[in-house]
Amino acid sequence: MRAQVTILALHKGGGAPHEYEDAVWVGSRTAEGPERGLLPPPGPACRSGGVGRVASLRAAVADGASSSLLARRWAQLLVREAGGAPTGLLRTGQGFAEVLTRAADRWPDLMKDYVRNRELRGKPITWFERPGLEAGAHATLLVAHFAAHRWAPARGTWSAVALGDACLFQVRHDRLHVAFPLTASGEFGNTPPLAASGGQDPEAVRARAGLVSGHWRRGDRFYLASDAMAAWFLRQVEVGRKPWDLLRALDYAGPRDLAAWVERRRGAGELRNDDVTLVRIAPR
Amino acid sequence: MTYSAEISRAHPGCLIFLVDQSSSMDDPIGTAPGDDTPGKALPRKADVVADSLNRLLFELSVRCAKEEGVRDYFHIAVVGYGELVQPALSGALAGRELVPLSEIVTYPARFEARVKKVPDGAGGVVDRTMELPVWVEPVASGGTPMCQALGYAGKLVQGWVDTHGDGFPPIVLNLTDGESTDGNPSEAATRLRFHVTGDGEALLFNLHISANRTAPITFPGPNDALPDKYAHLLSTMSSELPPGMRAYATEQGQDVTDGARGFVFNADMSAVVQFLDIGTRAADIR
Repeated sequence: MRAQVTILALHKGGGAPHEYEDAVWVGSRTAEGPERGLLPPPGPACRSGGVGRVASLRAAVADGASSSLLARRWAQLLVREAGGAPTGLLRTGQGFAEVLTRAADRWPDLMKDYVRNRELRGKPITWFERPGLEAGAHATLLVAHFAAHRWAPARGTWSAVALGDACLFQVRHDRLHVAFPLTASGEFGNTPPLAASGGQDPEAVRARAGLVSGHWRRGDRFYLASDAMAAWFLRQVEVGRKPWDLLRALDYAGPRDLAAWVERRRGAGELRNDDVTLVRIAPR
Repeated sequence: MTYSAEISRAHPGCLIFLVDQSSSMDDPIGTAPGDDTPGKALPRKADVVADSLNRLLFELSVRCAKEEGVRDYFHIAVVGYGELVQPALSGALAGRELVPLSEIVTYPARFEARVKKVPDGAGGVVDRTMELPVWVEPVASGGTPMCQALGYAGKLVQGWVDTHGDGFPPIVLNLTDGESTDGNPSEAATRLRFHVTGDGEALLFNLHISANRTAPITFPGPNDALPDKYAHLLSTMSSELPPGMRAYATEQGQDVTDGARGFVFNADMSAVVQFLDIGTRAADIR
């Protein structure tokens, strides 16, 4: 399959670029070279490019909880783990719990390295950081997997799994075809289910994770968004607008264009002041 | 009047703690009937208040910590009233009024070893000694000049709303064990609450600490009965809890009705901690 992929990422208003706490991974688990996976660095990002001749494509979006001390590092670990996970694990709640457990198993070593690096840099962990490190980090996670049809061109299947309120939207024939896992802007709250770096009960993950699957064909567009942008997207649909048309303005945007576009919407009260992440995938 | 302004470094929150330091704060704190351990000495009210404030400042520091620093989501003042009405932070911050949180974490007056119970990883708990920061020392001397203290806080509130007109309004938390000795405080309380930002009027919450064996009355609703005139006075001086704090209080298992006041009467130790926790949960931190 081929696909056109656009990644837009921006930190919270009033913050610094390195304070962006979402994470994105887009790639093909089985591909070699640059198409193996792309994890944009934190900060304003506007990446657009084509993916060509891969059997499948995967995208993951994680949103680190602001209350966590090392939210971005945990979000990055989650999307990397999800990006490299066997496809079968993303099709069941039990498999998804296994992906989260694998990420949590890697967290202690990552923390040891972090603490060691801080000491080497002469900035050891302070008393006010220690409780946060011990508490671990939390994040939402959405993973979508796209596969080409075995023989028919320009069509295929997709599946997604989510814990929390990062959302996937499928747009077909200029209409919102699928919204997942939330379907209305009023469903967003302050306490979405989160993946914890300290690990979690697989049964609880199974109960709270959402799963969906469907078919794609040429002309469909998929949007993966963290909560603020996802809520904006659904609200636009609810008032009869077509957010996918409004987002066309960002097709060739640079970081400054993106920041100005987001700032206008934040200023108008349409978009909550939070990290913004949007991945657009047009498979063909 | 929505109390929904976000709290960020560009729009920080303002917390002002008024601490009664009158001589009666030297007395032991009361406990609710059935909560005390026979033979165990009860701590002094002044110690409970100082400990609770230090614990709150510690928890705020942890909540606002990010990689390699604390974000200035709050500016904090602690004002003591007893023999004098004056700023009550100790050490390098002595004499300072509103202090950004990043300076609070940089300058604790001292550290104190405390034994804390922590999970042992096998389902049990073990004692662990932790060094905890101290900013506020217990003091108990003189009368209860509450009118002066509220006037002092009013000036800080005015200065804050003049420069932060769009932000979450200042929150003043008054912790006292007795009646005002310099007049009726209700007028000073009303004047304080007159100061507004675009997001709402300044909030005044009151906590009365008890030496009696009486169950505390926490966040009473408009129709709840109060035991005496003094409780009624403190209750009417207190702002209603904004929706965000009410929701948080409910999450914490409190039975909080619409129109509940930010007021606790006959507080024991756990009620002091709960009051500080709920009363400082402003809008979302960004």
